Amino acid sequence: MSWIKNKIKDFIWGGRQFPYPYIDCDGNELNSVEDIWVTSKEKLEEAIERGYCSKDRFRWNQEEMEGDWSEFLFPVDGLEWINGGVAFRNGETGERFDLKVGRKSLQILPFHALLAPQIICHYYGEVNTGKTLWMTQIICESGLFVSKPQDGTFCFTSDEIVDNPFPHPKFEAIKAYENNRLPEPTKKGELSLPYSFFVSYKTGEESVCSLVEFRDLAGEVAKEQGAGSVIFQSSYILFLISAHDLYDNEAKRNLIHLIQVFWQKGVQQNSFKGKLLVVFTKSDLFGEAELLQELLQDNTIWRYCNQLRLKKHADGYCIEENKKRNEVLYQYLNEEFPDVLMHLEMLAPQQQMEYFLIGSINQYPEDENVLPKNFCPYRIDEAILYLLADMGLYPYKEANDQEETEIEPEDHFQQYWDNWSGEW
Amino acid sequence: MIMIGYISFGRGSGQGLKMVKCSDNMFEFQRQYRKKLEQLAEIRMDSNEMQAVTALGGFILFLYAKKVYPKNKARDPHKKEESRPYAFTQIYVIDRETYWEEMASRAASDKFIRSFYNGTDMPMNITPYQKAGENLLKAAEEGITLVEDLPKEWRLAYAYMGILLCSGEIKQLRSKQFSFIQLMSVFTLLLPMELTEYFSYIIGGKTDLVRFSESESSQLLEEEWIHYRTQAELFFRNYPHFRIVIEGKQEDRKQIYKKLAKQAEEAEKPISWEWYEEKIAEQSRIEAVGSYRTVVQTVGSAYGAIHKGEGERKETIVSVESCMKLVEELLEEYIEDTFCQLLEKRRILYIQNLGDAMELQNKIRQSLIRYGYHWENQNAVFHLLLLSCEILPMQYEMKWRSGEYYHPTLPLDKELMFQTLSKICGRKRKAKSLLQKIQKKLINMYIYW
Repeated sequence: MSWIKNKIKDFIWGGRQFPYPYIDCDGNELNSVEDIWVTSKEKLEEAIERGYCSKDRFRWNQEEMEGDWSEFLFPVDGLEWINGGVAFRNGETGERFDLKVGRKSLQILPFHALLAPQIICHYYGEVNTGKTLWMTQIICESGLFVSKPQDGTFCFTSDEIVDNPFPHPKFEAIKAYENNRLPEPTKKGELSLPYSFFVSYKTGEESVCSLVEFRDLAGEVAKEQGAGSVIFQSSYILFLISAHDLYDNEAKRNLIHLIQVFWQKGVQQNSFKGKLLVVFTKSDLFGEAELLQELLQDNTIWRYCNQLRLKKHADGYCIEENKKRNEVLYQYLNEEFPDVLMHLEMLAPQQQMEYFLIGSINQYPEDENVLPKNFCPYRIDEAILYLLADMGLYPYKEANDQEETEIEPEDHFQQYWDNWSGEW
Repeated sequence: MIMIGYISFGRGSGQGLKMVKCSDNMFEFQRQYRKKLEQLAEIRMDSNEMQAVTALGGFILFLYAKKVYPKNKARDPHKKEESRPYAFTQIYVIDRETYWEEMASRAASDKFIRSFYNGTDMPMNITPYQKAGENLLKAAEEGITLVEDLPKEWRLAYAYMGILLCSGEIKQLRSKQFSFIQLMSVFTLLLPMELTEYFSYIIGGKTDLVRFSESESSQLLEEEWIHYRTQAELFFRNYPHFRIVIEGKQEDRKQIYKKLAKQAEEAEKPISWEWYEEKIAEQSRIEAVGSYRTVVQTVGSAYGAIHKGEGERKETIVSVESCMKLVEELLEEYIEDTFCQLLEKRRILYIQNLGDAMELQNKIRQSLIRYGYHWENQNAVFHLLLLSCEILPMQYEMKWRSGEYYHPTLPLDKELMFQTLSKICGRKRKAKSLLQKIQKKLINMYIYW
């Protein structure tokens, strides 16, 4: 576990280097003022109106940029810094620029880009494994992570620019989920822009924060990732494997091929330095697996007043639970799908591999792809809290803390509200 | 007519976006343009159906996508299937000429997409007949009817607005008269085939891969036309042959555009409106000159229905001097064949340059005055007089538009004819009696003064 110190206070305003590097969606590392332009919502809207780009286009690229963009994108040089680089101002005209744009990728950067350490979590897996749905759930159900573990203050909030004139690629999926529908399949050609969260944890005088980004990709594209792919620059890869990928023979062959691609391109050629979290999805389809029965009965979250709430890991990530779950899933794989396990272990040995089991809906969707009413997802929090704890952004809960936190759901919530001081 | 090829994409297999069916002649095409085709297959749909036309690799692509809602109720873990709604996209790849001739008109009907295979990709039960696109040929050619029903002025209006849309001077328009796809069809059918790919459009979806989508713009084409009318008149005045093509019948337009399309492929310079005008004019000359049997009719020409000639001509550029040689021959001895040759040359001259044609008339009148009227040359005088006093089509039209209406079958400048006759005869009374003789002759030829 490593504690990441907040360096913003140490940052020298107006310098050329930002306190933290940022890897953009194309894998370019941004460090200094030369790596970005700045702009504002008004300038971008003007660019749209004057036909420089389309209002539906999420991102334009250098090749497609025609004409002179110097009216809309500005270098940082000569501008005044506001709040350590959160925004910039033209001293002469008073114009304010609060959007940062990567010069090479032309990605509109998240609010805290370059100002907080970045953690990249990339979804990976075959088609129809639930990557987009889970990512959409994290976005739409971020209130799930509201908690005060061990009397600290945990914040998990969107870091996306509030007035970005271009809709995020996940906008349609978010809209579908909010309207109680399953998102449509991710398009192969969808722009791979991250969805960013600002995460912080404060206890007493200590505080840590980070920019946690989730990146999705279309399943068809997964096996096309080459050695130079930006995926392998991630801090964590969430490798999703659905029940179908294990039970359907043809799908399993495709899965094994995908693992081999990852091994050759990611591990062997790329020396992937991050951590691989293997996540089994569509938990309801594992219903007949005897080894998993006890695990399937034990959810780590629950629904209260139409809100999802943490249960098992509310007061810190439970190490004991993590160990128990890993062992069960490992045993299940070893007995039922040893071929898959063997290939997975090529990627990382057992002690470095973490196994998770989730169910975004935990039951079959209704007709017309409508989400069931009051459904409760299964363990969608665990992998996220695991990696946050791994990065020091969420506390661990040791085994001897367990007795204190084994409380009835109603009491737990009452206690939560009793203890909440109103501060974040 | 042969539809070039068929490609379809779907997700029914559960393995993500896959090419489902591809006709044999499309393998190389889909391999070369795979990424673009997949982009087209993944266009974001606003409704359950989407229709689009775009261009790729020199071909026109006609797309139809429908949303499939998988009905798999049994959630069998042993079978990976697609359970989410997805788009099943069918693409017909057509060469531009075939699209213009056969599809552009049919695509105007909103029922046209019913001609597509209406099943899903899993299972895919398309017949070879459907794959070859032969079912599409059963749709009504609504676009041609729409164009033919338009008065000539409105044809020119829609053609000109189509040109402005192509050039980007106008971005988006709605029409009071036509639905969106009807409008696109009308533009396509009025303008040369090379411009077909500029009228790429989409309904029921959103993408940057096409130029036009159904607009909610408040600007109505029919109202905006008022601002462009003068500009358009000038445009068509400069390109009168192009104008005639637009005003003409669909079949004639088709033939001319087909020939232009072939020439455009071989052209070394970029294609411009001047190029079109030149080539259309050439086409008209070739038709006139290529065979004396061709009945040449121009607006108001007195000779259009009367004189026919025999033989072949190959020259395409005519001078006033070469016409005057024939005039001199005729005044020496009137031979009908010679006169027909003169008519042909005069027509070419008119097409080349109105000014030259008018100069020729002037010179004919001077020659007539110089030679005078004799019993021996009365036929020559009669015919040359009519020729030299005819109000030429462009002049006729300008006069007609300005309110000076002339009898459509005999646009002769009577005043000029009388003055010329007077000078030929030397005496006004004789000129008058000659004029009456001419009148009788014309009546006998069924041309009423």
